[in-house]
Amino acid sequence: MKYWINIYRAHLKIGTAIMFQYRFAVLIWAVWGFVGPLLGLAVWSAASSSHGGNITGPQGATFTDRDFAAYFLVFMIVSHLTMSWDAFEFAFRVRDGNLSPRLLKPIHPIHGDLATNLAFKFVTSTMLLPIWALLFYFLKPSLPPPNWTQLLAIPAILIALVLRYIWQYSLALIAFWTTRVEAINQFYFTLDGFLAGRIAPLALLPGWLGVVATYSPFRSMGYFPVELILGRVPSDQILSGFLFQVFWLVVGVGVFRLMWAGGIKQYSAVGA
Amino acid sequence: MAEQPHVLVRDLVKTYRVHEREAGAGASFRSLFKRKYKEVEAVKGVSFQLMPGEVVGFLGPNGAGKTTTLKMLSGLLYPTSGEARVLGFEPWKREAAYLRQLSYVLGNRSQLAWDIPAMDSYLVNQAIYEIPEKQFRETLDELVALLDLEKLLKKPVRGLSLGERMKCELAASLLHRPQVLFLDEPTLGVDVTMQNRIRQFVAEHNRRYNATVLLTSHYMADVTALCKRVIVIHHGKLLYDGDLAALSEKFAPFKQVRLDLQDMASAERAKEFGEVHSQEGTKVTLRLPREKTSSVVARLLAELPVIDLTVEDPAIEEVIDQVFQGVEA
Amino acid sequence: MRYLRLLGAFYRTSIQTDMEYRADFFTRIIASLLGLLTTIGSLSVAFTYTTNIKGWSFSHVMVLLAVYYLMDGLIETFIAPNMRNIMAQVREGTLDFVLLKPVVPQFMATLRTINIWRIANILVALGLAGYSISRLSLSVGLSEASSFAITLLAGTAVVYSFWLFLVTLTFWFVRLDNIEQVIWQAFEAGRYPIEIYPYWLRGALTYVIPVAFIITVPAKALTGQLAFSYSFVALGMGCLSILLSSAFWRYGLRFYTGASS
Repeated sequence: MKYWINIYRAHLKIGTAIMFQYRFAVLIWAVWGFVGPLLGLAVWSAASSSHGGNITGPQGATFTDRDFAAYFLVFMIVSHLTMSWDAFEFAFRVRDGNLSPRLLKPIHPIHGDLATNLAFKFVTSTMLLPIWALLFYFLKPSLPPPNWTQLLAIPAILIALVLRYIWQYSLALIAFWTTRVEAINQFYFTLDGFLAGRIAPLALLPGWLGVVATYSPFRSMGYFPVELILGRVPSDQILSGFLFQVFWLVVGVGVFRLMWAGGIKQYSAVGA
Repeated sequence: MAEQPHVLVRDLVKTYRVHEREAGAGASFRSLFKRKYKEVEAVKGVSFQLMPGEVVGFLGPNGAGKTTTLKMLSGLLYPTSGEARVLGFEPWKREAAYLRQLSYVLGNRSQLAWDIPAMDSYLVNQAIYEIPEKQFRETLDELVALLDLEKLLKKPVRGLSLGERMKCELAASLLHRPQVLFLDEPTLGVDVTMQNRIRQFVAEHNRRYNATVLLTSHYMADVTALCKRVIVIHHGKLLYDGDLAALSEKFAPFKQVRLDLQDMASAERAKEFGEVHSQEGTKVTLRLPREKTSSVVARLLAELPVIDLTVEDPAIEEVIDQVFQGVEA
Repeated sequence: MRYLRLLGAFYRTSIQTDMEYRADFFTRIIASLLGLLTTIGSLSVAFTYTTNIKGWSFSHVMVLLAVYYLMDGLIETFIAPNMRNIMAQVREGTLDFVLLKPVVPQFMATLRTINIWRIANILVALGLAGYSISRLSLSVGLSEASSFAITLLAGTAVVYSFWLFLVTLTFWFVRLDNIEQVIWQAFEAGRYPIEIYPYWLRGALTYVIPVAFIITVPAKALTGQLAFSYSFVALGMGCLSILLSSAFWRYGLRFYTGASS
């Protein structure tokens, strides 16, 4: 345990230093996360104002202007905390051979990457805090009164973080078999965006789309913690929400292990 | 025309402004608000000339300013001050007429497109340098024969070994028959056979087209094989410019005497005759000042039971090492 | 003339490279269709609750979307791969090789490759444009078509310049490759009518990152909502942006030092 703490601490330290080094790019990257949710907010507040002030979904969930603001702002923060971009990096590394030195280390490269990811979030969150505060101030979201179930959002976010990370990393491993993974990534990101609730609150999706969204892993990666914070999860569904998260996490770890084993075989066969 | 130098460098200076950063997150956080800059003088007033057809070794330890100088001469960097003319052009104006006659080979970087065969990159170069079809075919045939490229040209570059890639790289740089050739570590990471091949090839290109070559290398064998003249720089300053042979006289004014003696006792005694360079049992190598060499050798032969004795110049690596250490001291 | 021949050589080699990845075309088509379906899907989700959003009907938004995808395809085919290359080359120092060639560096650096399979996006976009125009039962005459072509060209020029400007910044700030993601995202704002955004954002999308100019203007030209004379104003703006960004690029080149000194 101490070993792992030391390793992550060392990586966090380096990662933080690197992030500060590239603070300009990092900040831009972080602000990137604003665009999607704000677009969604723009579309939905325009739609709701053209529809007399509020929109009611098929299951009866109602959103006003300020509800949309609350939804998309919280979504923005949660997805910032859980986001991951390793598929891009990984493909580069496989292609230009930078993966090889990492494989020589007596520790799986995913740990260094996860630590870097955490360092990124740590650095950017501190920088973004004032901007988030301003957005909350100007967009006037309607937030529920604080209560204890909202604290459950903390473990939910942590699970979502690891969950999204491991799925993304598994996807990145496709780079072992094909040198061009951009199309697949794009597909995955679109799917993630749609089914995690970036484009619309999942409660507003009609018909079969709503059903797909309910059972997809992406709900556990983003939408579930957001709903917890907004107090929109009925208390009898909280437990099942967590079970879903854990289920998809186990699946993700399994897939990752299989793909890694196969991928390394492939990588060494081609000659690194 | 033959009287004009191909390369003329006068008081060339390049100063970089680099951002200083201390280690640690705290320091990097501070540098968010206040950046410290440091002026680094990479080249501090270097002057030299190269005549057409000369092959010159450009020596110096890492960070001496070799690459910076080469980059200024090839027009990649603007100098801070000073003058340079290559083939009569001011390099950093980067006139097409100049670039057409120049090649700059970087041993650790590749201009060839990774995913396609080298041949396709050559065809792009043909278009870029506007090489007439006939000349292109001729030069290519020569290069293929000299470098044994036949089988390599049709494979995607990513599938080639480092040495093979370097050969293709060299060919790509020479297709347009450059008059001036800057080679920056052309043999880096390449095996000995391939190094030899590359050397022969550079010599051949120089002979055939009377091209001027300026070469940096960490392998002294490259330099001794190709260059009669060397230019040595250190800390951005010119230390030496002249014959390779005279370099050792100037910076290493000693000779090495290799002795094989009959017994250990006389080996011990031999060590009193001069500075000991190395010893292996009864075999002793001494370092003697040039002017005293003959008298000491005579005494050694007279006073000790010598089986074998040879006098030689120190190895060029040692001379170079001596040069840089002498400057540091 | 010489430069046209060079362009031919450049595109030939990069198409040859892409031929090794023929499967890419189909993944592209699929990705493009999926992206399109997602967007249309999310719009139609919003339109299940209302028939118009800030005065835009679903079909009009689809025309806009088609122009958005067309521009996206043009960028990804011709502009983006080069700009990404430049950023990588600055980082690795291989831009040296571009500068060592007896060719105008901007030409060689920004037009060196073409990502041929991204034509898929263009095809999908043209299909969508045809479909949504027929839904609106609009007749597109010569003046609409030519003004559309002109404004689209001007928009492409602005995108090119904008990107060249950002790429030039990498001479000072080496690691800006992520900036591409941001532009891409800001560009996404263009897939919706600009009227849905709050006032200040509309300003930013018109003047700071000229998404409105790039997408809304050609879309309006296509549906006959734009005065013909305006297309020449647009063309002028396109030329001006190219001139300014090229000047900045040439200035920036002086600060390029390569990866190792």
